[in-house]
Amino acid sequence: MLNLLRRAEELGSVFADLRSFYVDDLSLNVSESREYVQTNGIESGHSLRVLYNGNWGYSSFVNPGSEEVKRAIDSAYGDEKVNIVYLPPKHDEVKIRPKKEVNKGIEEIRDDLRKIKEKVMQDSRVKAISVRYFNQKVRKEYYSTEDREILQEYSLSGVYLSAVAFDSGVMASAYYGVATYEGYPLEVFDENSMVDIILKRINNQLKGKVPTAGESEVILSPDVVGVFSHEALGHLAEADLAVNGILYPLRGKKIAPDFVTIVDSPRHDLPMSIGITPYDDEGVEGREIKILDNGIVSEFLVDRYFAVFLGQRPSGNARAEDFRSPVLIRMRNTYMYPGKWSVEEMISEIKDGYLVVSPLGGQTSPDGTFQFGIQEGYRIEKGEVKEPLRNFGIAGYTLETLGRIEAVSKNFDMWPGFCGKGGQSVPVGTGGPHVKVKVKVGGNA
Amino acid sequence: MLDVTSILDKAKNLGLSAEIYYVERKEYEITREKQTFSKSLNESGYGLRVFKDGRVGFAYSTKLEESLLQRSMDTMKVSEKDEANYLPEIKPVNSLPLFYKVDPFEICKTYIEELSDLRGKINVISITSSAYEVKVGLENTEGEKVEETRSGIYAGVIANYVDGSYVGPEIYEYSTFRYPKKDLTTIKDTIISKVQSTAKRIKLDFVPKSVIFTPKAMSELFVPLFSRAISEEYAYRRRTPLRSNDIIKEGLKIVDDPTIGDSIYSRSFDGEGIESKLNVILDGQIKTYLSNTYWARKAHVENTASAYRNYSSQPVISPTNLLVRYAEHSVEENSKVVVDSVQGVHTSNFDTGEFSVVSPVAWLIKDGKRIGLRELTVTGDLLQLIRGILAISKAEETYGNLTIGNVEVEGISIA
Repeated sequence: MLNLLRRAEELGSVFADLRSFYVDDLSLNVSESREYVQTNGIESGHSLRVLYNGNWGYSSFVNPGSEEVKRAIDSAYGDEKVNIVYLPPKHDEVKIRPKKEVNKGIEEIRDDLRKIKEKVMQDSRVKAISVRYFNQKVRKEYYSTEDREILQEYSLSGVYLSAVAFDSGVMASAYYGVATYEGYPLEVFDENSMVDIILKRINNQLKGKVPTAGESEVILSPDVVGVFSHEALGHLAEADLAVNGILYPLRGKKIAPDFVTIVDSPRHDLPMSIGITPYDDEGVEGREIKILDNGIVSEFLVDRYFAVFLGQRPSGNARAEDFRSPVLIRMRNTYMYPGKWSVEEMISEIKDGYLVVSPLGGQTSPDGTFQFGIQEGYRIEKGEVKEPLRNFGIAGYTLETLGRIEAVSKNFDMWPGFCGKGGQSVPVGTGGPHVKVKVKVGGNA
Repeated sequence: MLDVTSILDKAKNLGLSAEIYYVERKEYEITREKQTFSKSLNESGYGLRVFKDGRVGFAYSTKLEESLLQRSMDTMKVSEKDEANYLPEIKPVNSLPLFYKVDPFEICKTYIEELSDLRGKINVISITSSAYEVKVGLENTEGEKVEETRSGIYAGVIANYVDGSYVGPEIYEYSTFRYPKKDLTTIKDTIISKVQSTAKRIKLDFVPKSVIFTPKAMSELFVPLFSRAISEEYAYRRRTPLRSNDIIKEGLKIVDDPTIGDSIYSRSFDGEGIESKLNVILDGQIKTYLSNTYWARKAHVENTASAYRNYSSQPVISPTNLLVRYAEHSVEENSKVVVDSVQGVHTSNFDTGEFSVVSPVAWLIKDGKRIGLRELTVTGDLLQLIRGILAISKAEETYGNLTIGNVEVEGISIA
């Protein structure tokens, strides 16, 4: 591989790097009507990037050959203005090992999924269920003309459940999932707790009512705060989006109370922090970025190019889903720091509002609007948690919402997710404490 | 030398029925943002399915290797015995003209330059153009084979309104096609007028009786929910809000046509090698759910040849080109709320069809002028969205794989 880099230099590239991806992939699905392997295979490929005449050129391929260097150089196109951070030579190996080695055969995994299916279907209202297991063993190699050689290995696994139930003509569905680098998910996490949560959500959805649309005081759970930190703020802090968005002009300005700090970090100790990225796909060591530091807009997530453009130290946020895809600025583990309040104290202060527990995902726009779907939530009346709510959404303006945060709890949790951007999906961790704030709740007008 | 046929011969000698789905893809793409970058991809991949005694196994690889067969056989152990697991029968197909040779670098460069005209007129965030050609084929142990080469082109631009501290929402306009277009004037004119409509936005201060969804909004909201809801898999598993015996909407007709020449979603055969055909999905009520070989046999219905796949996964069900028509065409825009874009559809409940999404690009028509609206939430469900249709304009547009006019709907909550 190193000869491809040398050849790129000989042909006039001032910089070149090569990413090699090797992924051993398995996904198994057990449902009420079918048991089968959804995907199972080996993906092996490479991506050569050259900086030639001030432009990036790429060649992504399965079979390496010297012609790929020419293809990368011939593909270079742009304004001849690309300027990047160069790094010193470095050779390193990072192998993230599970806490307990996984020695499960495919039939044992299938049997474990079956057990979960059977437990959930003991509730006669449940008519359909999918229990999906996935595992990706990933080996990444990075080489650059700076003499950087970085090897990383990890194994990511998860179990996702979704179920549909009917009761008295009402249809409801719910979802729950876990993912981790720490080993076989059904040994790292409690299977019974997963079953209990999905059944509770089904029950809530069957009984729940859609809330009335409008602004309301809410308590957001760690799961929702994580998605808020990621979707509503994190994307705005990705330098490629930030330069056209609302956050960049606010650098150094205070937009939230002192007790609000939101970071993006290459590592976190909780088992579902699956955005772990010791080195990014530009061979850069990851460091924690304080996007919001005690309420003040502080730093942005950068790649080698935007590090120069914004005058920031490289952060290790350049990631690519696979060998086919160019590197983009992406988050890793994005979360809000915990605060001083107890959750009970925060709930007791709400006269008429909602407890928002579990999101179905979210989306944001550089103008600062965000939207999350919610699958588990409850009405709060006079400081007490009341009846459950059926599927609804929350939305708002990020800056307005951050400025309205009234309290942040002591407790903290992290959740796994997969973030989409530019057609690519990468594993991320999101998390935080409970938060008391006012947002727009979508429901019946 | 190891090739597709030799792996299939080995499978046959082991008493297996088997098929290999293979892909060879070449793609070139330029994205011009603050940082411009290109992508040049040369990829191949192979997906092997093996069948025996009602069980199925699967494995894939980016390289054709001996281990593919063993790996796919290993996974048969976890397949339940099921009469619906059997090798699809491939027959010769009428090949559609789906390939048009272009110089990918030149065509992308041309569109990037043309869309770069927008710089200086509006705040352009990103311009992308890509061109690809992909050879897709299927061969099985019965000696049957289909193969074709498809090509496609994409051109798109993202822009917003910026004035001092005011930042408008991102607006995305794009087009996909097979035959090179002479110019991209429609994209340019459309994005300029939409960006201008977000220069100033007000909050909606009344509850509208009806709302108009543009073709773009329908492609973002309706297509993902509907595509999932009309899959035979989810109908069989009761995970769809669209029931087959119900009258869903008199006068509404929705078809899936995989044979449209200029659409990049067209194909001569589906992901299992079965010849493409037009399917009437809905005509007042559901006429057919879309199926592939497994789900057609499982549900004892006709196979609509709607298998969709890449080499790295087993076939799923997906529509190709959706065309939506309704008997009533009169859409009066004055004093109405028009939703042009929605975000957060992936947060919907796809089993029930319930959604609660935000519209970053919406406007109110007053005396023929657009008044931008901010922070609009759109809440409802798929069935309400279909049943509430009052009219669909005759003038149609195509966004992605949907061709439809402006759609006026009542019963959806707008706040």
